[in-house]
Amino acid sequence: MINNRRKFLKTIAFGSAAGMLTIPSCKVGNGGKVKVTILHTNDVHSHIEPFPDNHAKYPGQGGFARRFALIKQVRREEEHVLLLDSGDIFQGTPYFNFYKGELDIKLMGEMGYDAGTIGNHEFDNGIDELANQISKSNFPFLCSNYKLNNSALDGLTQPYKIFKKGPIKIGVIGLGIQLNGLVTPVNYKGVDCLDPVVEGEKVAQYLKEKEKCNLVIALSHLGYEYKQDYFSDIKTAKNTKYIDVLLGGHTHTFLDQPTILNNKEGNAVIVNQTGWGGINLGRLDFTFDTSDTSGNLAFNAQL
Amino acid sequence: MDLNKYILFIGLLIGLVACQQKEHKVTYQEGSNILIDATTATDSGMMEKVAPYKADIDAKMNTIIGRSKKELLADKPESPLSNFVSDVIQHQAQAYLIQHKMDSIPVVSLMNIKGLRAPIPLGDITIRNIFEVMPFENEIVLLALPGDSILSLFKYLGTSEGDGIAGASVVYDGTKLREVLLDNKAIDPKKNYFLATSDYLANGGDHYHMIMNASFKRKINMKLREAIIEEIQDLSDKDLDVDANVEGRIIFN
Repeated sequence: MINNRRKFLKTIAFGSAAGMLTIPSCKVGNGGKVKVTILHTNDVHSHIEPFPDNHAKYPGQGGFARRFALIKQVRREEEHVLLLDSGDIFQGTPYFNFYKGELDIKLMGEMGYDAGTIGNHEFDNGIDELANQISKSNFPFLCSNYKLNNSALDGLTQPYKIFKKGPIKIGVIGLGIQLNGLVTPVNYKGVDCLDPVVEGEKVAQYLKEKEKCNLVIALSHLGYEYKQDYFSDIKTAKNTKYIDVLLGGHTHTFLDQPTILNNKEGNAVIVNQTGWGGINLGRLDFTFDTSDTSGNLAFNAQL
Repeated sequence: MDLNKYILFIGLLIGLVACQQKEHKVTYQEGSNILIDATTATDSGMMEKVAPYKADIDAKMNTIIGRSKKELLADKPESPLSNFVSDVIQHQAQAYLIQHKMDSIPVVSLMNIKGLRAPIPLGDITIRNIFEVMPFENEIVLLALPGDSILSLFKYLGTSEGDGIAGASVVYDGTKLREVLLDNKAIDPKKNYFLATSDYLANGGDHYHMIMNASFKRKINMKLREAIIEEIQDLSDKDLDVDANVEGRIIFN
């Protein structure tokens, strides 16, 4: 018994060393405002270079080198920045045909992406090749509703990741689309696609209640909205209460500005999607009032 | 236990718990999708990293294979590009059937518009253009299906707002199938027909479940992209430009 208690105290004492670092920053934050900027992309589809100047719809738009310059500029201006991607990194230009996604993931790593999720096109060269590419990534791939333990992706993704930005904790999850009907079955062998609303909500609740995250962001490849009764970002936003932001993909939806709607408890949820091809960089700015403990996602009066 | 240490530890623990339980009010300030174009600065380091890969790809991709009379776009329900590619698939399947002395029953082809990822540009066409039209490594597959499966396929096309087809013409009232003709004849539900399409759709991709269980299924050993390139090169050899039009293959009333 005494031994057990000693062991317990020793464990906590180690923990308190980290606590010593946490407390001062917590106190500094009291009464202040902390700004966090979220940058995001989706469905870049291997558009490493800008679209050609003679392209019918997107002449001269996009490109990794320009996006990186823009990201660097935001990082110079803002202290707390998160850079996220909502899937379909792969497929769409010869860069993918020749380099199988390796170059995309490597360059995203160099741009300092904090996390991504898996889109259906990530499976285009089969699950073994996807596993090979993900294993070389220096940023994590988040999948909260794919059961992967019987697949080649076992252990290569995580259900969530928590990012600390000053005193603020941001939980990020990943919601994957139902692959049946979209991907050749052998290419996603062993992947069990679970209900994204149920699984996403479960992980988001854990992040809010147990991990005390101030904001939960879902990287989603479900698609913005459908006429059919498919899972979508709009459907997920309306049927959950622990997810604050859905950064979407798959439907290549261009939004003039993020959509704001109510979740199932009547609180605000933000849904955004940047189109595709790296044409836009999405940006969402949040402030966290560290003196206010109400916690709900509130809106600037300007909106 | 050292009392001082113990007090310090409890103090830290209370501080830690208090800190963790604090929920900070979140305010969403603003959001936007920032266009990246020629006015955006370029990161030279990133350009340098891409450069050797770009040089390698350019060497392979910039070969001109033919010319197009106009820009061919893919759009629902029917479009010049989806007609052109559906024709290419049908030609390849017919050539395969002749070569293998198989039945000359009608061949319908199907190509999903979502699978055509870029237009064929006006003027010179390069290998790169075709890689962008058809980036996937999909192969042409020949299926034999009973007429009722073909009818299910055309019924589904009404709800999916059309896709690329050749060898058939179809009319819908709203989403409901009014009439479909194969080779100018009505479909016999009990007769077999050939359907040429991509392996992606033959495996039930893009919700084409009704063609998954074909009694006969054969890859004709030709990738879709190779077939498109070959067609354009053949036209170019005959001094012809690529051209295709909307012809009323799919009509929605």
